[in-house]
Amino acid sequence: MNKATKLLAAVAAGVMAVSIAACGGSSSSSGSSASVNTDKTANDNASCTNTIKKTGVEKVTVWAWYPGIQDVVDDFNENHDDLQVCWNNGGQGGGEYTKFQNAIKAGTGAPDVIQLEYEAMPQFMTGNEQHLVDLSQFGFNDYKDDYTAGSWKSVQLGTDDKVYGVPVDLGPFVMYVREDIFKQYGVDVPTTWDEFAEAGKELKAAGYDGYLTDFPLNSTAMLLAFFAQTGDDVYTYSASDPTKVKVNYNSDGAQKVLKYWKELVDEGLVDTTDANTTDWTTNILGGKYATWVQASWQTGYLAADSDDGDADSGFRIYKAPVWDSSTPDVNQGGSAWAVTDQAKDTEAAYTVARELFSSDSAQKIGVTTGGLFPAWTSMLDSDYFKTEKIAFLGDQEANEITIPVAEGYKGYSFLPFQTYAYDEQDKTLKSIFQDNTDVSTALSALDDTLNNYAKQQGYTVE
Amino acid sequence: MSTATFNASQSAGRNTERRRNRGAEKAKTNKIRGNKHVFTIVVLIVAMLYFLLPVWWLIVAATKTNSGLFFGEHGALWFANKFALWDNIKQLCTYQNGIYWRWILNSFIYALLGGLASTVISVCAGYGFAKFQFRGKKAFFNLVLGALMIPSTALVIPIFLLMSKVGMVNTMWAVLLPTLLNPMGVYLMRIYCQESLPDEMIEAARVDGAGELRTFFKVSLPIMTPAITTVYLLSTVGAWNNFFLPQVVLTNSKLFPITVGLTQWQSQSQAGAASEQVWNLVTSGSFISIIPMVLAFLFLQRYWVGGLTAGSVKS
Repeated sequence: MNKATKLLAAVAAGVMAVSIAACGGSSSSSGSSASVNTDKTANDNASCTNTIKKTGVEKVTVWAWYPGIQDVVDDFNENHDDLQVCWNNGGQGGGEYTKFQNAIKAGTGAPDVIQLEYEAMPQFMTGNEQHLVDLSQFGFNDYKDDYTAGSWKSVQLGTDDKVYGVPVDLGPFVMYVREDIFKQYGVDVPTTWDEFAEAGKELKAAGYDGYLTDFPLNSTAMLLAFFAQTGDDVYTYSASDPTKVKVNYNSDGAQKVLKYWKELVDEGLVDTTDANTTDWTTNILGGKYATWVQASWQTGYLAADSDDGDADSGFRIYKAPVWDSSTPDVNQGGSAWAVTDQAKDTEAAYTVARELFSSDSAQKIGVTTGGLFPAWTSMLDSDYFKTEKIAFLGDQEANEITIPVAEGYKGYSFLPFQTYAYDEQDKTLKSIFQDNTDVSTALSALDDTLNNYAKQQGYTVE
Repeated sequence: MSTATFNASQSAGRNTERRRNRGAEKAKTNKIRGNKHVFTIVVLIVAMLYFLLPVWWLIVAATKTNSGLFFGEHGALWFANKFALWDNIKQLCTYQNGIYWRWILNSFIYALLGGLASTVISVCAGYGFAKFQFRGKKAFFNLVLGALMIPSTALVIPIFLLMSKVGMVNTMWAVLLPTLLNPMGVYLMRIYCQESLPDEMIEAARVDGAGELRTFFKVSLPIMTPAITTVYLLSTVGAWNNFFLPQVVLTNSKLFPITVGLTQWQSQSQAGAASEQVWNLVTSGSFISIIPMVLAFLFLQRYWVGGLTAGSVKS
């Protein structure tokens, strides 16, 4: 090797090293909290999708995609003389988060109050990126008992006494059961996972030509709910120490869950069609699946795609199967109002966030028009909600099942890079179920990938 | 207009000539030709099916109810027993206070106004590049050529950040202003002016005592009309189909063009949660939204072709 080549190699190696180091980045924790503003007129010319009811009053801008939200906003505006809500739909979930990120980059353009799913909140409260306002400074802790324990913990983001959102809805994890199919083939509805697998075999033996259920390979939040049932935390993250994360896909619980489903799929008892696709909708409404373990908000979705959403579909809601008596109640999905650091008048934004859904009238719109499962305890305790008959479920008073689950749910945490984690989890599921990779191998590879990614992003990994 | 007619008759003449030549060869090669024809026709039919099938699907889907889309009795490519097109259109008028028609109106504003303004700029710029000598002309034109190479999607985020700085995000201007930038139009206009507008004509006008403006409006503009129409069509269609930019810069759904609005309904339907499912409105709304473009295509066909070939041949 001559001198010039050596020199070139050294330079190249140096460049590589620098670029790799640059990839590592460093987001040091400044611990700075989101700022509080008091400009009461900045939103006077804001452009709103809804019609403002009272003019000459301070406005608060809100982004949300809840079904029926326009009615809720109108309800708020009619009942408030000092504040008016100016609402826009910033997009559904991911679309809205991208917009919010763009507005953060631009330093302007974010709404005062924003609807965020619990799982999306950490990404806006991490490292130097602290864009949600702590609502405890306005005394929100006094309202703790108005919300279920699990939803409250979800908006605390791992802190002890801070609150970064006002819980709105939840998704109690339950089991949809085609009772008519179980009756027809003389099989008992399972209550444990052992019985569940058994029921699959019995149905098949009795001549049912569908599947026991579907285990969608694009399931993201659903899989986390399954993991949570084992009592293991797959993720650990706290806004009080926002540069530290813990990823634990190697846990016994995660392995147990995936091995269980792998076996059922291999035996041909369970389908693996991607959820919320047209094929899947056709299957589930066409009686191809005897059960479907999912959050209770699925009812509205299924009813809307049926020929007649008010006709008895044969589905009934049961408690989700458990591993044993210690299996906790779990939740899938749900969202909250968060106040952004770009709020023009932070305290007014807090008032709107807290009061938008805090009335019987708004809650009823949410439950009936929106099909939301509320996190607001007075609604959960009301006879109206407890005895609500659901036509699609053959007039079952399904909330008798779902309310205890929502109340029993204790909350769990998500990662500040949840979208990335979901993508990787997706790939892992495909490799286990389509390429037959061993469950432990695949999970530990996923664990490594996410831990490395966390390190690259500048997080301390436990 | 005169140029266009002249071109048309000229090419018609050429066709007759070609046909005559073909007739002479025909006897010799009839057999091979026949086989070739079968092959060509099969390929064309396959290609036609390939391109028309999605359109057919859309037409059929537009007539279905929500559940008809999932459980249509005759599959995805044939009408379901319940013909719901009319119901869907009625629902489009009432759902979310008929915001669908607002979106159509917005699309027309963005497409027609934006297209018009961008054409005016393209015409002026192209004419200037073709007929005037000025400092840095080459550099500026290279800049235009360079801009042709940058996909407009790549500029969306920078545009968003700029618009944020000047407080124009979430206004119609955020969509209209970037539409004005149309390097392809400038390029087409320059080439067209160079080829079809002789310097001598402009010289003659000047000698006769016409000012620059008068020369432009009375002499140059009439000759440029076919190219102007083409550029206007291209930019209008581009603006009508524009999606990513309005998606990023608009939040108020009253300002959405039809592309972004329908996407919002689609993701709302897909969200899985208890959202309202409006698949039937997405399909029938998409169907209605392509009608203006289909009409534009049918009635203004020759200008499109003109656009494709303008500047491709150097005389």
